[in-house]
Amino acid sequence: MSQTVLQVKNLRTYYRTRSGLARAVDDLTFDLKKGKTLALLGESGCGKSATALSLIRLVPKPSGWTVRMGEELDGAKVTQGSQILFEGKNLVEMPESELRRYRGCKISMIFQEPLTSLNPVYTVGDQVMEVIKLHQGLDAKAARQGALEMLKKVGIPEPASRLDEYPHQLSGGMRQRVMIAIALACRPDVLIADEPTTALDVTIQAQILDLLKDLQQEYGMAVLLITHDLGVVAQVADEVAVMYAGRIVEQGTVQQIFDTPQHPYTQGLFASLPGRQVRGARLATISGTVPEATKFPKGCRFNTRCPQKFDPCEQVEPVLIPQANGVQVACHLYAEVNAHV
Amino acid sequence: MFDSALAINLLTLVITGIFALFIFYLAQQEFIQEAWRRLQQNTSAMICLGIISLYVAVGLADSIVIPIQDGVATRNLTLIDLAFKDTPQEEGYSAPFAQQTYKIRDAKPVKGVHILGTNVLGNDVFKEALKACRTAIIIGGLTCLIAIPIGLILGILAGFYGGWVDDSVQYTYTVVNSIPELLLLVALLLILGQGLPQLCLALGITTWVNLCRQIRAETIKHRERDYVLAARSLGVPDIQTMFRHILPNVMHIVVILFTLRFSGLILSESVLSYIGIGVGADSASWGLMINSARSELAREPAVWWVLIAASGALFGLVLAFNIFGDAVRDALDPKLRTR
Repeated sequence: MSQTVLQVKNLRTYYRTRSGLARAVDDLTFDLKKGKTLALLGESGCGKSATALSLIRLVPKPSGWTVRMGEELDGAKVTQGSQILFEGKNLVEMPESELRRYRGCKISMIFQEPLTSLNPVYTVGDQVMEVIKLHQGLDAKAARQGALEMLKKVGIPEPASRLDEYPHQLSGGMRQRVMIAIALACRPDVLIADEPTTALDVTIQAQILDLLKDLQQEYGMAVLLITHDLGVVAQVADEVAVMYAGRIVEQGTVQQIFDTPQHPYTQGLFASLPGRQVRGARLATISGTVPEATKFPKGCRFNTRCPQKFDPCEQVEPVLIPQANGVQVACHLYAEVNAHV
Repeated sequence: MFDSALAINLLTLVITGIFALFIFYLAQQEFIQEAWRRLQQNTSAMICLGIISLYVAVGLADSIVIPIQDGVATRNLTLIDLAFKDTPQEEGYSAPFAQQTYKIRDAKPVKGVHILGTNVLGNDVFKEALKACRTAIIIGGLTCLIAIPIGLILGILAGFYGGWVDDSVQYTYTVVNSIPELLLLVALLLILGQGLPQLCLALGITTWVNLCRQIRAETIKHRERDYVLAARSLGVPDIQTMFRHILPNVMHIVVILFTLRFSGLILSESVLSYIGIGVGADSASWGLMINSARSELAREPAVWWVLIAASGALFGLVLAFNIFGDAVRDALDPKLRTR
């Protein structure tokens, strides 16, 4: 069992919207382990990106916030606050100034759109050097050397001349490599990759994923990979957490989830993949749409779309329960052994 | 010993230096360089830039003071004064290229050639019009130096932080904006007293509002951009995020507003001088010349050349700035940018 680097417990991130309180991330618990990749899998709007932003506390204020212990919520005091434990400290309660030293240094993030994530008015070199100067306190010359090495490391050809180029002069794949160089310049312990390959075409996607995997092995980073792409999960992840409507519904190793999906939602996802059907037949779909974050149904949040719904689903919200093979599933179908029904 | 000639030269040097640094800073930026390349293809814009440069050169020449030993006293003369050193003073009005002074009786012979005639004191009008360039350039330049930092800093702070910071900045500029501009200027000049720097300060206080509002809106747009989020995710402090990452991306607004506002400021000066609260009577200004033309036009026969000289000079600069400003705006328009 490898060492746990970052522990997330009961993470709740809510947004105040015009139509009410949106529970974007509701009671998430997972661990990131050294050298391992956890994939957070889910469709748009299920709270994946909100989870990523919560980890480094960049949820857009003042509408969004991560619930802390002791604050007022719905007229009651919160007794179980969110915890993000890193090096024995809770990032949720940490002052902003202290947290800033962790961002980009020990916990880094890469984003979906490599063009918009780079500042258009600075050269690639400037932007890699900025983070090196900021966290390692090096002078311009040493920082430039560091930036050059990072660009070499992420496989950019002719790194010395690329240093002085602007983001718009690079291709999409190159830009994402630059983003990776920036994020990894300080050798972080944790890397959060928010759909890092969504904006890239398939061949580049494979290259970037390989690169991430190589660098992960070299640095021994824990990676949280956020994606909606089952193919990406299969290629790089060790563990998968399937997210639906702000909650994890199923969590296990890639092998377990891909071989024997247990939660009806996960089963639905795999059934809708092309390839397993007869040629010419329609693909299976999950009926209905994701409920809005302000109007989750009572009981199981999947009950409006679940083909296997039965009595307790509309009454009791299921919790993650470890199954015989070690997979955790939040579904009443697998909870008969428990007495709470 | 306080040397006044040195002090005046130093002031000129400082203002020119700040603008040179500003232009140097802008020239470093890729998209400004691109805009410049596009601007160079625009012939009318380049002609206007030439005209503006000519005015600025005259203004600068009038700002460089050289102490001249004149018998016992030392007189501080500018380069423009020196250029007109040999032009004689006449006895009162004389029309352009006239042989005699402008009087029905007792007309005196004119000693030199005055292409734009002479004014009531017998001074060359062309020289006066040239000397007023300096006032105009200082009014535009110094006011922008006062207004741009205020508008830029407050606008970025308000846009970036939102919340109560935004509320208080918005409240401040709404209050300033709700007072009629001319009334506010008159009130400020009554408090500050008359004079060139005071006028610049007063114009600066009324001018920053528009810039601030636009910078705020642009900052709000950029605050939500991924690169700002990425910078923050890398632990970049707020101040650095605002002034290193967002500032260069909103700088084009400053360039556009600056070039378009410059001519407005020069016109304001003329209007204020015309109603008697502009620069003091000791400085040369087109507004003062136009003001004096009020009574001159009522004379029989009318003295028209002072008005024509001042209005013409004013018209040339303002028109050049307006055409140039429009061209700059087009060149910096993101929609016209080809990537």
